[in-house]
Amino acid sequence: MPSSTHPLHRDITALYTTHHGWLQGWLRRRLNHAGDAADLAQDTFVRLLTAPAAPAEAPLREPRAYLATVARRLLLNHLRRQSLEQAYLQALAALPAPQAPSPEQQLAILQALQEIDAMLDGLPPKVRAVFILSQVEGLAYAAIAEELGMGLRSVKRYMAQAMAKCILLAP
Amino acid sequence: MSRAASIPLPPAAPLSREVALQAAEWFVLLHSGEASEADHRACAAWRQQAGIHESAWQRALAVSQQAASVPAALGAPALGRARRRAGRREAVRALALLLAAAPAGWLAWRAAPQWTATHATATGERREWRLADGSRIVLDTASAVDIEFDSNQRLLRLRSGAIYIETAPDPMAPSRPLAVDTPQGRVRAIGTRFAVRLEAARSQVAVLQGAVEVAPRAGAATRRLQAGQQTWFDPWEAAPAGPAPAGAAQWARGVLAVDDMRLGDFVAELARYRQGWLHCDPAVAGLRITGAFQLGDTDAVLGNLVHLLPVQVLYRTRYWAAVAPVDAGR
Repeated sequence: MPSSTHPLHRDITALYTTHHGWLQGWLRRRLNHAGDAADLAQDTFVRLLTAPAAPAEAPLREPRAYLATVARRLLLNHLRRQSLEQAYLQALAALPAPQAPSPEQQLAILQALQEIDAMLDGLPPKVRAVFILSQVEGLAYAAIAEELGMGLRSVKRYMAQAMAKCILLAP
Repeated sequence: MSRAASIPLPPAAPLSREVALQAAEWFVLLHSGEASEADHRACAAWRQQAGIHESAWQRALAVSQQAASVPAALGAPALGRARRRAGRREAVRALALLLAAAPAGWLAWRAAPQWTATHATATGERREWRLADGSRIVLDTASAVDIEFDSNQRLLRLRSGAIYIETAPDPMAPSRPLAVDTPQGRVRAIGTRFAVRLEAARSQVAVLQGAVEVAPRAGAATRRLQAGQQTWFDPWEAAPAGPAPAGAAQWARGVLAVDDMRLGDFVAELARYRQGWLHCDPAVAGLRITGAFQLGDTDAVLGNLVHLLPVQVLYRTRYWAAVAPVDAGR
């Protein structure tokens, strides 16, 4: 569906004009950073424009509740990325200097981590742990079973579960 | 997570959960070290059965490769959910601590002396103190100094960063000499305003008023600098004095004043005031820049660059920015 004929466009334009300032304030109170709040407010409206199946009625009846729902999801995503980045910087800082990757490598690694983190988001902790031990740490399934104190069959089942989710979400 | 919030899949090839799980199970079997020749053949047959099977399989390989590209020492703690010999609960607690401690840890890495020095600043911070003798000091970003005053001398040991000093006449009699020590040597003040900056293997002094005497730690000769002069010194000798640029100690007032400076050097200078990583593309590093910039808001300085020079600033995250040519792709 070409987006220029999207029936909601007019409504979203109206939403933007009326509520953009409010949404940015709502986000700023939760973020303590004006720049990020402005970016996320923008992303929220972009998300509305690109969402294939936006409920036609909802935005008009409860515009702010609707905007907040969409924005909250983006906000959680943003916070998750931020906490990952901080943990990553911490891990970088703990590396002995000769092992530290170049700035370009550091950035590439962070981007890979963000993609992996997004794909693993929402999986149970055990499933997530199995995937990380296998794919990032390179442990064999038997070693993971011992590590996490679970059976080999569980390790394989969790691994398949995590990998299936990654396959579905991989870019 | 709803489909709308996830990464959109190619519409022509809807990948079902079922197929994804089958591909994942094949992947697990073939990587278990237990797969037989027959298993390998069966997997190959499954992949050939349908285009969508093969594409799911390729995705699995791509995901695996991507995960393997991350060094374990970085990936495991950052993804944060799987520490050796740590129960789930401990892991969660460790993660919480990790997150809470992250900014401090980052800072400690950038400038370890910060934690033990008597006077110190964080990255991006600039602070002023009035000392017991009435002298005024300003510490630049990520700087640390130990103030050691006793009955014989007024000693300031610079451990990182840069310091600006306006000496006051010593209230004690007989008056004690005031000096700044760096790992490379000693700068003795002679009624003066001056700044000392410490770099990896050398120190820089710029004198704004009065004079100083520079004594490299292991050198025989001292060198005297007058107002308007600056020099570098290592442990063996001080370079001949040259004219100090007009903006030499403007940082003490929160201003980075530069005259015809290479953009690469300018960006490196700016990076000292920012947390994280700021990079200058070599393609534009040779451009020249002149002006006075407020150090309190380096984001705004970067924002201004695009009006002054044919460059753009690429932000990957708040901690990663790069100054690049206008036509550079993402």
